[in-house]
Amino acid sequence: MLNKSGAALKQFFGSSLFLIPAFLIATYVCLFHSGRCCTDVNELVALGLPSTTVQYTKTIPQFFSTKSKPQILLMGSSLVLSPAHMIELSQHPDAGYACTYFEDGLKERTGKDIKVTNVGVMAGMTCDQYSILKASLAAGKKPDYIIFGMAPRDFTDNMTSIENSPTQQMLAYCRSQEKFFPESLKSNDLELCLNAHKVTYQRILKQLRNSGLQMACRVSGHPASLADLTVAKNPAPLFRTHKLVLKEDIEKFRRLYNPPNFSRLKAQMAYLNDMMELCQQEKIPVLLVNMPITDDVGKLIDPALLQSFRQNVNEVAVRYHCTFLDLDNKDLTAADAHLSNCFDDDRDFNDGVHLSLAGGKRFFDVLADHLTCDNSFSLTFQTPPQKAIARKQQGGTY
Amino acid sequence: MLFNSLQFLIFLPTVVLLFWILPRKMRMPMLLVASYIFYASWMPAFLLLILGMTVANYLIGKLLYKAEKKQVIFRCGIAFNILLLVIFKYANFCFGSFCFLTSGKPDCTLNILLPLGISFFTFEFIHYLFEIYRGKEPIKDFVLFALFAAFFPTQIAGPIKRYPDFLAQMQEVRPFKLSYFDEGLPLIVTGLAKKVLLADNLSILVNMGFSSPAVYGAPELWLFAYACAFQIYFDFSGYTDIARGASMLFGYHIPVNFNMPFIATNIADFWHRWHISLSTWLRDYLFIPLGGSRQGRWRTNFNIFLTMALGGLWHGASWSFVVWGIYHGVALVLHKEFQGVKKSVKILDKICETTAFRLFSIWITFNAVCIGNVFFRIQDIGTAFSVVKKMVLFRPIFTSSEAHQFLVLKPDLPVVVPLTMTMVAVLVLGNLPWSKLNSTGVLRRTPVFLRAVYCSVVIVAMVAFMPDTSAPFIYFQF
Repeated sequence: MLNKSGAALKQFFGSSLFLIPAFLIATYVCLFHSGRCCTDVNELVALGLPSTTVQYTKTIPQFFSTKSKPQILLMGSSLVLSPAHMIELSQHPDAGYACTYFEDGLKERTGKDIKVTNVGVMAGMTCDQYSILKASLAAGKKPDYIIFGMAPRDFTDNMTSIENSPTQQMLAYCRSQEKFFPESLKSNDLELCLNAHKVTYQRILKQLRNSGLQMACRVSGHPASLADLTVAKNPAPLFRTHKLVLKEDIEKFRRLYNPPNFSRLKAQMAYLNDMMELCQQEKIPVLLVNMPITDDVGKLIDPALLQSFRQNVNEVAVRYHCTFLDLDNKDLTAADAHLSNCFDDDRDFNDGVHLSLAGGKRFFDVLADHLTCDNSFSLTFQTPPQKAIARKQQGGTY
Repeated sequence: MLFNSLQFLIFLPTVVLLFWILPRKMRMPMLLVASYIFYASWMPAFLLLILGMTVANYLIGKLLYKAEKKQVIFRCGIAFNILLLVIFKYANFCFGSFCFLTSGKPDCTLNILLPLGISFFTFEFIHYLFEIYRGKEPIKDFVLFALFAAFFPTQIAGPIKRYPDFLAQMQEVRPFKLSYFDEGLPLIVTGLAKKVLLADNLSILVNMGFSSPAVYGAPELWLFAYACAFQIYFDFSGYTDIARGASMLFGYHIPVNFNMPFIATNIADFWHRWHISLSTWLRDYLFIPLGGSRQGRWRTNFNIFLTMALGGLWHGASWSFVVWGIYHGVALVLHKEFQGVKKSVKILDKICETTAFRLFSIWITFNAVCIGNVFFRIQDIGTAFSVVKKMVLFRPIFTSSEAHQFLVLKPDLPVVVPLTMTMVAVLVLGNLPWSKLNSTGVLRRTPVFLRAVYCSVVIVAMVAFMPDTSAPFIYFQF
């Protein structure tokens, strides 16, 4: 009997039914682990990452390309990228996302050189921020302090895919230590692990396809595709540099927020919760900032959804003892209403949500002032707690 | 549900698993239900058609076997099947042609949808009635009869099965064998690779060329025609390989449909190698009943011509397919006449025996098939004729008035164009040595381990290099 089943097993292990899946799995495992970490933007495009993905998540390879540990890690979506970019753009045309204005403001207020690293990613959701933080910790780049600039879109966006988002794709190409199995059996870890495999699978396919395509392009002298050639010749600007609220913009935001997606809010809040739990375990203080947006866009959000968002963030902030600075609550009874009111829709925004040069400076001033009187910040960077000193503060306004 | 879709990737293993774990009595009914689910996944309403035709043909078969005067029932049965085929496949075409002739309107249609695979299962029913009429025993078990026509791997685009052979396999009690998978899986993988890796990539070049043929010169059009020949071949033989592989997983062997058609030395040889199940069907149930080659030279030629013209019409309800059929009919008649001349002139016969002439005839036959494929691919007859004229007269190469630039020299074209052009060149040049290797049987005798390595490499290459969009199989429309 044993001999029979042994022979049957031997026959099974020698059959195509076993061998083909086994070879495929082995190939995947080899390619999964052999994929080297790449942080050069040009190389990433050459490896097959779409140019829009690279453009959206440029800060990630830049962050992982350095060996230094970040002091303040500024996380968030394009809402934290645009103020930094606008200020940099006013100084030199080939601008990135450095936060020199913010760093100068902090130095002016605390007398210390504190480095701010901006890892904001366009169209980033909260699960993307969690992935970035985990990748950062896995790479030994534990930040001293985190500022997470969020907005309701990061939790409720109806249009952005969380499975194969630009951030997940970029992380699959340039994070240093990827795990094949989930870290725990928690649903979030399982989902992240599954997403990581999906994007890694896509990465492997793209790399295989691209290696062949590039060789063909080199030999023949033909472009990979005509569309790529046109985009490479005429790259589109990242952010608008002047005030322009288009009807299409409003329509786009209407689709982003409607119908109100409470289930996605719940799922993304779970990621925020996990992120804060991780920060607490690692003893990293966090400042949660609700970014200012214009009334035109704010009106598009379902009031119940907005209230649920604020309430949930507040609960998380209380649960994990971190500060929540709400810069988009103009209700006079709210604690930070005077700060929210200092942002003017016409003066401080380039479109419905992205801050202009003036708005960007105002935002970093508010942030710097807030940090200088924040206890956890003072403890982390050993600066004396001060009362808020604002350069332009006149009776509570900036 | 396409063979190259995710649904099929889930459907096939599920059915195979159920087939082998169920008790033997349940296997055939389960396979029949699965086949009907497969058919209904496209349009559930047409399930009634295939069911209705199955019941009708089953009863006609029984009646025919028992009847004293068989001819009346046989003719009624054949007429019934042809009538349904005409209604569903040719009514739009006939009405459109009638409107065009009477009122000049080109776009008249009755909006009758063509049920998937109707041409194939109708031919199987007709074959069944013919065989009963000729004295064979009908299938007693209705489930087996229904499964003969509905068997999902061959349901949509063949190969056209013969019932005595398939029935014997269905009735035979087969134990589960891993060797079924060793034979079936490489066939499925090869078929998929032919479709998504070769046919779909070649279709990019073919679509580009034949969507606006007026802007290209003769060299480009010959290139597109070559690409088109390989596209059709890989598309259809890929489908057949998947069908054969999928059948093999249940332990069934279905007929081979292709036998290296592009090394055919003449057009008759080509039809012995191309879509074999159709050409043998046409021979057995159209050419021979018409009189075959028993009624003199000119009647034989007429029978060949008519068989091929109707064979062309079988492919699709369009004048271009009729022209394609006529073209092949004329080519076959010319070949037959040439054979007569060859036999009477001894020196010509000796020349034809040489290797050089053999290679030349392979080249000529391949080019002749490529010209015919222009009518197969371009539905507008006027355009198809102008393309063929350009190809044959080699315009505008020999007309100095027209500016001409060969595609590969244009640097602003995407790399896929020179890539597919290279692929065509490799296929044309590699066809003969590959066919030689295949005919030695080396590939079939490969150990399982190497076959599994081959399958894994092909699967990886397939998912990496397949185009972003995959078209349905060409023969699904017939």
